Amino acid sequence: MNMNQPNHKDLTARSFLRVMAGVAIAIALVSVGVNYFTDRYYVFHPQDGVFEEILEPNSRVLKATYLDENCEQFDATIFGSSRAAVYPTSEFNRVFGTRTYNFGVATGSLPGILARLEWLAGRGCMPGRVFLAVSIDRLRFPDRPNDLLRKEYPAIVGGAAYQREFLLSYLGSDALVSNVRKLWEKIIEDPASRFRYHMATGDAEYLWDRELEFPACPDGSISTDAVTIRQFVDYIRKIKELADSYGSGLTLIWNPIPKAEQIAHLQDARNLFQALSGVADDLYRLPVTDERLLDGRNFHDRGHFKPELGSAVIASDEHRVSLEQLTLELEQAAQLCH
Amino acid sequence: MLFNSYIFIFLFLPITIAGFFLAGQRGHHRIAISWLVACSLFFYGWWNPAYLGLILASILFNYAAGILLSGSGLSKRKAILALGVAANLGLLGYYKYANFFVDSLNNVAGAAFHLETILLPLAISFFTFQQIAYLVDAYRGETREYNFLHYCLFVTFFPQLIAGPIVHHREMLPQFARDAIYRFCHRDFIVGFTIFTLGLFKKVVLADGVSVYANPVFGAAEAGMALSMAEAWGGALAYTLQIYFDFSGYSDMAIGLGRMFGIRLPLNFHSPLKAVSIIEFWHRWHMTLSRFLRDYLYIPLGGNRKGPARRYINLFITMLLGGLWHGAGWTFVVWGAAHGAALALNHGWHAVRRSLGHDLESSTRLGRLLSVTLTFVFVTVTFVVFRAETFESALQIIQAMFGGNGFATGEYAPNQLASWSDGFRFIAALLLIAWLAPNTQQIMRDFDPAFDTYRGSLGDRPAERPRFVITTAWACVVALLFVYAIGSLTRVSEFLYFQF
Repeated sequence: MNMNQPNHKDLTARSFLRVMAGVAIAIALVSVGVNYFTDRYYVFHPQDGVFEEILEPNSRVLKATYLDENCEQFDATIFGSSRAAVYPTSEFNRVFGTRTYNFGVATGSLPGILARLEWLAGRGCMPGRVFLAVSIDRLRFPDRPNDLLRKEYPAIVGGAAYQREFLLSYLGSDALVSNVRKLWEKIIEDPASRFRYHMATGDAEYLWDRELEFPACPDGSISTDAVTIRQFVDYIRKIKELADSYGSGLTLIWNPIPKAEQIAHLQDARNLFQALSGVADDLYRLPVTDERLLDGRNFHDRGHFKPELGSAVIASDEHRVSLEQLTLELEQAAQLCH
Repeated sequence: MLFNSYIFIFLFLPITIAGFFLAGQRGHHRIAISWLVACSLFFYGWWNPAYLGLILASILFNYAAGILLSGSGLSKRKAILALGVAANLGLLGYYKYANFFVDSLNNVAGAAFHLETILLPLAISFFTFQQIAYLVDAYRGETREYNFLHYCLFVTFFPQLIAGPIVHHREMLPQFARDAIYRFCHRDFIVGFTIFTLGLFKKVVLADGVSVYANPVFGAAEAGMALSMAEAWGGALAYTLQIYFDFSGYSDMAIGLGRMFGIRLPLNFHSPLKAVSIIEFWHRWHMTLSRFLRDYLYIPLGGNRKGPARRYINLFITMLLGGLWHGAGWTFVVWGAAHGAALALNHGWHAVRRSLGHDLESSTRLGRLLSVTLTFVFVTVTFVVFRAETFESALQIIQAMFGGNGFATGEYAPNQLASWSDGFRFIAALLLIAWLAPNTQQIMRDFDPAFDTYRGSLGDRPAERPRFVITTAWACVVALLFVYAIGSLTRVSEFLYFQF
């Protein structure tokens, strides 16, 4: 069809403008409505669905929203990634005698953890005890500035501009695509990964199981560059300094990832522990020789261990070891693999 | 102020349009132009009001020099032109290259000269080039006595002020004298709005969407990390697509905005990633810069008039300086040199083929495919140098792209820089768009969207459909794209070419 050969379907330019404006306004209104009411990330209605089986929410917002009003109820906080989110707070309360909140969030990196801790401190809710769960295979996380699952809670970032950007992004196009997908999945198919979040404790449950087999030894070694390790240690130092300045204690927890993964990262562990000297002396870990680290039934998937394994890390005071001892332990395990 | 911002789209633009046509339709053309100049200066000053004085001084100086040039004898004209060009280049040199010069001198001579960091005024590379062209043409007697307000608008017209297209006075100034532009035209508005929407979509959905796969790779290389082959290719391809959709999207927006005022701007992109050779690439990429470099640098250097050897040297020098125009850094110089060398080689190859009696216009499908692939790989690799902060990081990425860190795909993303399964799907989709889809001016070609600056056919094959038609269906498509793009504005990032 050519502009120079008008036919019955052509509009006048004026009508085109009217139709376009009308359709644009209608689409915008419907989009905002779908986004607000579907709220696939649980940022507008964080209380809804918390005890249901849900799609992965924005756990940063979900947990920070709760702490914003209830932080004085807790005197200890677990920080870390989605792995840390499954450490059962009841076990921490039992072992350490604390009232613990689990602030583990998806791809929770150290800069974000420092920001969250500063926010808590600024609100007069600095936890007396800070548990920091780390993984040797996740010293760096991808930078995903536009990821709606991982946008930070506005009060933690601060500023009216971010508040506005935050709200608009969850009413915008990316959110619309996700929300429509959620509706589609709800109607048509069952999503593969479901979650259960307990708002009052921050505990997360991952409601999926995959059949997994873990080798005892790795295929080879993986090493992270020195820059990443240096940045990682710098942030741990900053977190410790902040905790110290409030008289809080920092406790490191070595996430129980499969044995072969730990051995593969032996050199990283050596470098990390060397750089950590003077910042931290010891940590809680499950011995790398523990058979449970070979059993796929203790893991949801290759990256995420189950709460029982998490509980086992802190179950015994003997699991608290020096960095030198853990290095030695990893080296011995690696030698047996050769 | 960014084109892709709420304040521009919902406040600045409607107010500017309303003011212009309110005055224009009542016959107050001078007020309408003054309004547009004032709004354009406001748009420019939004970024940093301190530099408003600089652009105003530049306009006054060049306008006065233009008048002197058109009214003086030959000997005086030469001196005025030399002074005018030197002053423009001096301004550009001071703001853009002084720090670079001092740093390079310190590195080479081991000296320790110190110069405070000079903040690069926005758009200086663009408005300086436009005005140099004006002076040269005034010297050649190719300009008329222009109205000062019109001249101000020629330099400051906000759609093209910040990042081009680099407009020519011959294209712009006569349009300001047409009565028709002062009357609001629904047809021009919807054509302009559609082009603007296509550009906005390219920028905020495609370019910004793919940038999350480019930035971490370049950042990691800068930090000294060893990249896998997949990560390096992912980052390089993502950046090539980012800069293409970013800059061509910006150009579309500029052309669309101009058209809303009834003003046509020159075409700046014509699907450059479809180019079968590096010669063709430069006929399709940033066409108004290529035109400027050809008319005001390559041809004055002698062009192809002094034999093949001088031609290749002239090409190389032109591209070398073109590279330096993009940024004050050795990586830009090397990027320009690589393209200069490739152009010379490409012309040499054509000469050899012509001497063998080959028809350069005909080729097989396979031949075209190989040529497009080779050109694309070259462009992608050289864009790594263009984007990288240092040679070390550029080499780090290029080395990894060609197996320097192994060919293994098992641990294809050891640095966890991005979610590559999504990333490669997105990159593949964008490549298909860049290679197979019609471009904006092909979609809009029945409405003469821009001055045709392409030296070839803009194409008229069935594959180059869909074509824009004023129908309900198109009204819905444009509305959908517009709302989707507006809904993506929270992913704000500056246009890449602002920095040049």
